[in-house]
Amino acid sequence: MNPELRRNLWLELTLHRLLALPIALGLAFMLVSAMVEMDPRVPLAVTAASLFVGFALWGGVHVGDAVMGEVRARTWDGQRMSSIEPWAMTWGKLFGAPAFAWYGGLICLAVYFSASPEPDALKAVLFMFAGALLVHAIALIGSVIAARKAVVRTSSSAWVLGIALVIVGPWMSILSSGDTDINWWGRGWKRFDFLLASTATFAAWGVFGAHRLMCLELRVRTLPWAWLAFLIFLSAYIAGFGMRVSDTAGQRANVVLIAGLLVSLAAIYPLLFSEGSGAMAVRRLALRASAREWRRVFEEIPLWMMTLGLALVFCVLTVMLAGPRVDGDDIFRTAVLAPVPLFLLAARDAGLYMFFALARQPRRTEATVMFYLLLLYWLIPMLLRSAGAERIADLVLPPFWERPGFAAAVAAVQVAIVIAAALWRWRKNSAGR
Amino acid sequence: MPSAIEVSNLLFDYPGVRALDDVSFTVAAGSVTALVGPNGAGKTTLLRCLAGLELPMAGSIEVAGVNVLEAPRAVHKCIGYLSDFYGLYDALTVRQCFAHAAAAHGVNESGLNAAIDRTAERLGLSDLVTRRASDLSRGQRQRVAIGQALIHDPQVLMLDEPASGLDPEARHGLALLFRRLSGEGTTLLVSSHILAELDEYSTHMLVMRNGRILEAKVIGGAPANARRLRVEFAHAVTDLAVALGAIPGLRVLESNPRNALIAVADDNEAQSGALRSLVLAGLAVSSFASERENLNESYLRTVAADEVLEVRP
Repeated sequence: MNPELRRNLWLELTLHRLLALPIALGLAFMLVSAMVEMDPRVPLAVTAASLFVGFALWGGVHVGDAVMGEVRARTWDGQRMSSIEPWAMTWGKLFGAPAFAWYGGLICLAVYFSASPEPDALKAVLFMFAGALLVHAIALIGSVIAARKAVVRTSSSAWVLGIALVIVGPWMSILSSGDTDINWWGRGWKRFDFLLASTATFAAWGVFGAHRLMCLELRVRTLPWAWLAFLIFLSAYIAGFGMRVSDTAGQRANVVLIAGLLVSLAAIYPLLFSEGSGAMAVRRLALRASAREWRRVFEEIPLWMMTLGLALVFCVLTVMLAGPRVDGDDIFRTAVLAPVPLFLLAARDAGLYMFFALARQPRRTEATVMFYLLLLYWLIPMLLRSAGAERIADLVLPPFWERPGFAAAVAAVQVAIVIAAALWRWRKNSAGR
Repeated sequence: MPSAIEVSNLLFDYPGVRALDDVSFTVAAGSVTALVGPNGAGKTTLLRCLAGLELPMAGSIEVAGVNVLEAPRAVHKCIGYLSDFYGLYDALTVRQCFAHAAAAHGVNESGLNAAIDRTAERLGLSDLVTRRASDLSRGQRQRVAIGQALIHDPQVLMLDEPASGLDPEARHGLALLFRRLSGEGTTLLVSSHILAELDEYSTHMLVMRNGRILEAKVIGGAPANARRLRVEFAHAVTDLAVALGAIPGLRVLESNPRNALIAVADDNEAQSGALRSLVLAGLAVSSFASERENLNESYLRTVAADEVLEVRP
């Protein structure tokens, strides 16, 4: 038996709990049945579904604490030193930490399935299961990232579940609102079927992502292809919503490339703030590269660097493939270049992060970078524009949509400045080593 | 003697601090090596690198014949590690703690109970296996943590401050256990501030300071499985080292005309034979007794020598 699952079962499923929970749930369902005068099936199904959501959220708190709690209790090093394989550790924690919540949740799903008068009750059960799994997988990813970043000072891990809900909630809400079919990749899909398939697919990606992070934590040597594959999948998934039936293959390629660029640019920021790559990571990479240990370089390269590289590829392809196809207004012809300043601004922000991360003893790097990004993207341009200094404001936040050529030039200068500053700091702190 | 641990040119940085600076050393198989040094010397970082928990900047580490940087998971299977700041699963019983540790280290289900009973007996915890870890005293928790590290019979056992929190009786029991494990072929690397405790069981010493290895030596200057003897003579002997060197089975560690420090095989027959040979060689032996160098003195001498080197321009 998976040792990690067994350990969790010892903790979660005591005989008392195994007996008490079904009795409590049975009484609750009997109460609901007794309170209504009409056919009790619908209220029973609603109660069961609501209780399932409660169990899923409670389980999410446990999963969020699965690794962080061990770091706090100083048992995580022992787990990292064990022979438990990353996959066994992943599913042992994913299903073991919330074992009691799943016990209650599965009872609720069974009641829902037997009580629901809906013809699609089975699909609803599968959707609820996949949704809970997705939220738990994201919570586990958050827990491992927090452990790697040593963000385990607080005793509560509920914030990890909060992040998972913030990621999943709006997406599910958008997809589930409305009665019409969903147009995706130029084809109509039944809304609930699409939601179910999407949730199940992302749950699978979530579990796979948790497994890959667990590989890193347990010192299994991996190359970062899985992350790049997920970004490409996500790009294709999001691009699917922007396609019409009449789109040509070329137009569809454009949509995918633009989605890919936006997805990879957006992914850089959470990676920068979650990976914690500083002077040590850069120095290690430099040593590996100088020793021509290329496999090691790719094993240890921070994912934000890989993502920036992917964004560059999407940027170049977008400009190259989209340029000749654009017809119509000048503004669209000009806007073909917009990806270039967008990419350069992301590169500048990454450079800014490295400048602060390369300090001799960096402190609160993330908060500092967020503060400066707030200044650069919002406060300074807004103040300058309100004072009528539009041109100076454009030097701080270049107009990448209206004047992409100019914006690219300004962003390139900003990139050069932050890279020079980061290199200066790097050389200064490396002197004497 | 083959090496159980081989480290070369190890480099490890924390932001603004070089924790390990070109560290190289070997640890003989079956030895008990005391890793000593002041706070911040780099002992814990070194142990974590050896255990494959931290990735160094550069260098190479081989433990039990496995390249730690190339195959960290493989090395986890053949080593045991007790961290300075260890934790236990408080809600589990001692038996469950041991069962999890054993299964997590690949002990078969069929061998689980035997491994648990053997470990509990080794650590003097047989009467406590049904108690929850949260109900144990500090010393008992320490013993459970040590048991978890050695339950899978690792070839190399690395312990960071294993005796902190133990009472004198338990410390003595731990020393006996370490000697027994060493006798059974396990290599032990033990980091501790309590040099008197290390003195009880260590055969070798690694002295660290400022991220560097100052000295790697056999404790007392005698090789492992050897006995150190101080011999004094009734009158000065010219060329004493030459005369002693000619006697088979005897190794001269240091000598001056009036006395010498020699090493012989670690048994009474060899000691008696050495005395007989000295007398037969015409040397007027006035005193002949075993001598064990105090680890504390040895450590302080090494550190003092390093400080002299640092002061010199």
